[in-house]
Amino acid sequence: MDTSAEQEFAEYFDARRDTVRRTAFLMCGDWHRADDHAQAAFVALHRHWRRIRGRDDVRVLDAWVRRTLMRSVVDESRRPWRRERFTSEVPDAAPARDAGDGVATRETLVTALRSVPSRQRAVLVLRYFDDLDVAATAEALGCSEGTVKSQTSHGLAALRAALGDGIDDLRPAG
Amino acid sequence: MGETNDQDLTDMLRTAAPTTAPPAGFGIDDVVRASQKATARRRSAVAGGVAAVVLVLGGVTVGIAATGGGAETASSAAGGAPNLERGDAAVPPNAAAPTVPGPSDTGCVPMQDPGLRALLNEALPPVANAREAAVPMVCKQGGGREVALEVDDGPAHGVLSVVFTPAGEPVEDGQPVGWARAGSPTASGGYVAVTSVSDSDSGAIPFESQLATVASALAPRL
Repeated sequence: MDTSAEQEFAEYFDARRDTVRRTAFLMCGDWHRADDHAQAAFVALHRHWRRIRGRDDVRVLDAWVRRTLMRSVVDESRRPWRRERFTSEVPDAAPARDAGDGVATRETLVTALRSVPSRQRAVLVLRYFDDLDVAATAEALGCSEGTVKSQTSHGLAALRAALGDGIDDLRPAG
Repeated sequence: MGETNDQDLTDMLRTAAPTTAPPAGFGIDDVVRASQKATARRRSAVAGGVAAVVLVLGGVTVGIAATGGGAETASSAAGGAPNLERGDAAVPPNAAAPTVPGPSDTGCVPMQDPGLRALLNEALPPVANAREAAVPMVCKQGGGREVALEVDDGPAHGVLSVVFTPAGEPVEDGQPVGWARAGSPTASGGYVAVTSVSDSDSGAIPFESQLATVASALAPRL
């Protein structure tokens, strides 16, 4: 890449790195793996930067990175040596005394998210953490809007089941 | 259950995103370096595939060369040593008589296995021009081979992954690590492989750009 292209990439990287890392963390629940996935997405972006940046729309770049990131995470979960194992044992919910505490709530939700199947988890993360609408989520995951809606429903059900009775402790005091 | 609960749950999700994060494990330099490395490997893999086809079409039999012929073979191979940067993967199963350590011997899995990609291309021609999907750098004990592609099939698109895990190998987590290898048939009919494995989180591989030169220099002497 020429110098100006490298500079543009560096600016985009600086602006988006933490956001991409955070999304990856919510998907895999581990900062080290999140960094692996985020880095892989940025490496892929760098390799295709000349073609992609020509579209001159940061939303296109965001969508491309998001899509690459999600594929990386979801695909990894299918690999035999890293295949996620689902269990009927639900992680303990946060103790009642932590109810209302933001950190405890976050940790409990992130832990529960890990027991949601990867595609459904991806939909939940994109829609509710990254605040994408159905259409943008469908684009990021390469699926139809109908699939996003059904995966959202199934994902929320799975998350609710993972939280169990602990969900009541997570509700903000009202 | 139903809408009210879903609303509560989504409200909680929206406000539960982590606001702090540990320091990033990678920077812009790591990304650029890995990108350049991947591009170089891609070119090497393509060149390796072409070289392999030339060898097969030319009826060259590896491993039976006499000293003179062996030197010539080594010389030819040395010229294409970078083709074998990914070690085992660039060598067709029926083209390399000498025993070459495979990825399982290093415990590392090629991120995009060129050999496996070639087999996949034969089995499913529509993916021959598919772009490689982004995958994290992984390394696992016992080896394995994989390829992941971004594919389109009419209106359907997604990632097509082929993963080979040897029988009896344990299933376990990997860890980020990079590796590279250059190899060449030797004058005596053997095979020399020069491998460098990264031990750093950045994935930077020591002397990577010199591996082919080293293999070429050693080949006529072995």
